[in-house]
Amino acid sequence: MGKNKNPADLQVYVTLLVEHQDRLRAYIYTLLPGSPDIDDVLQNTNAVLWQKQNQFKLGTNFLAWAFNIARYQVKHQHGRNKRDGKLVFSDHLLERIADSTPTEVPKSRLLDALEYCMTKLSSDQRKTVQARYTHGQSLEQHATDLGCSAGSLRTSLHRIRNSLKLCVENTLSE
Amino acid sequence: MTQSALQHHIQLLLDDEISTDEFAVLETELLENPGALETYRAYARLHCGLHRHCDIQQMIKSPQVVPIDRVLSLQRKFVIKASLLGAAATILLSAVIMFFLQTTDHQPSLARFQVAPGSDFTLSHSDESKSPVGDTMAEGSRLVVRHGVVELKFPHDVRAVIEAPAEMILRDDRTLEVSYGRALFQVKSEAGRGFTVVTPHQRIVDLGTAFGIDSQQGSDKIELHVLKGSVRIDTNEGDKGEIIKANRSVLLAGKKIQREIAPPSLGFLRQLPSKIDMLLNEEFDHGIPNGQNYIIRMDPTIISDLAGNNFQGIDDDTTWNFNSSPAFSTYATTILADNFSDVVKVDNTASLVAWDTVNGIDTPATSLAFFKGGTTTAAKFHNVTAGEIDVNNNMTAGGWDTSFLLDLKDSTALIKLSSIAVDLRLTSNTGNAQTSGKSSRVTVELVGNISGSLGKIEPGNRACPTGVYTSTLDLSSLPTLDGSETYTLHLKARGTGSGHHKSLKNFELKGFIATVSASSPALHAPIGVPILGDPSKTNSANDPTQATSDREDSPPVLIALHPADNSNKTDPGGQLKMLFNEPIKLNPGRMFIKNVTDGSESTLVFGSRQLSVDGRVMTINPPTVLKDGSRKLGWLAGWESNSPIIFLNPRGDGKCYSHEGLQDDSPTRGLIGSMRSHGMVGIRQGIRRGIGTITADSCYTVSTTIGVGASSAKAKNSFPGYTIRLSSGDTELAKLTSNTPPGPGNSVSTVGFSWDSSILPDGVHPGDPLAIEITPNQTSSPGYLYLNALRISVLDQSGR
Repeated sequence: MGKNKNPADLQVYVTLLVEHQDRLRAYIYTLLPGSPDIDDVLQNTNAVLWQKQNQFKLGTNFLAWAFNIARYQVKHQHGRNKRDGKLVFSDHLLERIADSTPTEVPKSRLLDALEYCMTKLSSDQRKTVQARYTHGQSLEQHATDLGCSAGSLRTSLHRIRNSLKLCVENTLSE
Repeated sequence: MTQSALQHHIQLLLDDEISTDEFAVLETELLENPGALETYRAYARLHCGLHRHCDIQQMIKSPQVVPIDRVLSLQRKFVIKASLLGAAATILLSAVIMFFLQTTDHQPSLARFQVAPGSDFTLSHSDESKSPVGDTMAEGSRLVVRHGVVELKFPHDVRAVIEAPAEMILRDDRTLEVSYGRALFQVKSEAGRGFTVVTPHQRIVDLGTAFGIDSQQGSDKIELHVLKGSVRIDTNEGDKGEIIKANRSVLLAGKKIQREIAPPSLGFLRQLPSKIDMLLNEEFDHGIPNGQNYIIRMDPTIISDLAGNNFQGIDDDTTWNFNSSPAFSTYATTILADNFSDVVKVDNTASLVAWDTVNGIDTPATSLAFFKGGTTTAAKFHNVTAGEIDVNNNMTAGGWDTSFLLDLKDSTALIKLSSIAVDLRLTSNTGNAQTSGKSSRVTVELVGNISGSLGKIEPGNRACPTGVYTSTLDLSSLPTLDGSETYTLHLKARGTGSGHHKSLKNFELKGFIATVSASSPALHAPIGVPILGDPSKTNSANDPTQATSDREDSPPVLIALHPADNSNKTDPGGQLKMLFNEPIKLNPGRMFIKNVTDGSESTLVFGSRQLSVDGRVMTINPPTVLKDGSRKLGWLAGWESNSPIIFLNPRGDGKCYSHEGLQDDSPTRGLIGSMRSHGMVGIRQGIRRGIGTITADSCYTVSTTIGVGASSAKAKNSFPGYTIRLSSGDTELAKLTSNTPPGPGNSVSTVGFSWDSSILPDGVHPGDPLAIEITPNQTSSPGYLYLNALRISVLDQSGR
């Protein structure tokens, strides 16, 4: 490791790192869909970003730098998933997605927009989303509680996601 | 693809519910349609955002104090991940704490460390909330090195190079506590004098020197090699001991020098090697569970001949569809038993009206003939008593022999014998009990009418108790009985001391029974033997297995499958094999292994280490996919074993383990202690596999992760012990053996040892085969030996 950053530069670097966590996570999600190892890959990426802090020039594109490091961590996990016989994107598609992910974008307001769009959902719809995405809950359990089939809830969830996607896009374009 | 179908496929993918066919369609669409890729990206961002949104909502709703076990779990997770990243490990720890715990108070660093690339280690700190920053250790930092090499740099120009397996705790900047490990210490400055290595049995105090120690896990002895200067050996209580000077090597027992020893044949490492070679990385999660129906399919591109002509693949459910061997009964049942209450004795033959219990075998003979031990001379009965067969031949004259016919010819069962219990009594000529000065034994031999002797169980003599006593023999090392031949179990009474007879009063033969649904000619067709014809009856010109393509553009032809299509039996080895008419190679593509019985499906892709080709044969190690908390009997892929093992995915529900961390759902991930994967295997007999050949002048390190079940917390004797052995042929090279559980009940821990190949035993040479064996020490104990992972690495001489 090279010379340590001075305290002011370190503070900027930490701010960048924390500020871009959501973008970094989304990037990894996109490359490893359905994988349970997203958190691990993000942690590994953070570790390398921290270790290589002195190689980053303040003022350059942090997101491009971070995506590049995340890409190697994703490749590593992708290789493991492939060896384990999991259903994974081909190397070609992985490269295509990684190459085409924009890095020159304004700070993401997706979470804010999503927060707003969630308020537009009915109570039942929100509960379906929470059942799918909250740790310790499941659509199957929620279906049992409601006395309906998990399949019908999955169909509902697909429709809710379609609505949320439209809502978020409209909100961000305003 | 319509937009609606695209959205549907993307959502199935994000929910991990997409089928392989749907996946292939989606992948093609994403590659060919940039608009589809943008839609996918939008859904993936939304999916990620919803995860974050719900996480935040949950934190708002439940802002409880984080329980300490959660913190420890998190810490463990970081630490294990860190070992994969090498020196980034500790940086991650400090980074995470810095970012998320907003802590600025760190422990001062007392030592810096570096690891060789590929090392497998765990670092934890006594106070994670104040972990030292960077690749450093602080007071109380604990470093466990399972594979590879670590270099530690202390203040005052003190340096250590430590080889796995090793475990140490840094006490202060001059004191390192080493539980076990092989290490070289160099104290280069006057200020470093007094640097102390504390082992479990002594304190080694530097007096300005370079010295090496070699302390194996579980040993109370330690090798000390003083290379320069001198060291002093003190007791752990601080009593000063002898000073050892340069160029002296000793074996220490406490502070005492037990004896002088030769200098180390394999020098100590003086610098970090460039990398660690991992010979074996086994997680015990591949093989074939019993009683499952499999369908194998594969892409047309994955196999081709060497000229590049593709095998057509398998795209239907009927070309390769087989059932693995049916599951053996979980508990040993009685195969054959009688108390001789209705026996009629004439000359040397005891005729039974009927056996009390007959299970699994074809109708056995209803008489037993007795002979003088080791001869064919008939032995008559001494007393004719109901419920007792008293043979008229005393132990001094060789005892007696009898035999049981175990014929499964038309049976629909496989039998794995487990034990035989025989009730016996020693009598005098008058039929009275007598024991004084007598000792005896019962032995068993299994003989096949085709194979000949299949195994003997021969315990030593033991003193005979008064009255009736039970002699129980463990038969689990004998091979499985099937319908391929007729078996005879020879029971022999032997002993010492004159003038007494051994009466047979009762016996019970027990075993595990598996039912076979039907027999098939393909059942016994091992790979290499064509199902299309017998090579011994075919001249080479017409031999379909040796046929070469008429044209260079002919695709390879499949000659045999193993297990054969529609077969009902899998052999030990737990692998699938395909035999072609010409050498083949693997290409990009996928292979699908569907378990119809439990509904799981695995995909193996080109490049997977579970697919391999050797000439005309492709070998497949199928993944064992088990739901949380489930277990299945079966055969491990790539291992030799005389008996099935148990595949299990442990759950902390108290049946095997009581540990909430074993739930697979987030956030626990179903892992505790040293676990590397969700799966475990339980063994009651030894398992063995080859790991290549011996490389001269190298250091091999073996580590195994062992689970200690809940029952071991209650009954210590339920842990069967373990022996892990490196061997070449019949020669043992190195081993680690213990009957002590490596951790408390409900834990998973790693044990390990190293072996130096610079000096080989007589008859063993570099290039000879090298194998690893793992065996429970007590095969008759109620518990299984549970294994989660095995790693074997090798380091060469460079840097020594």
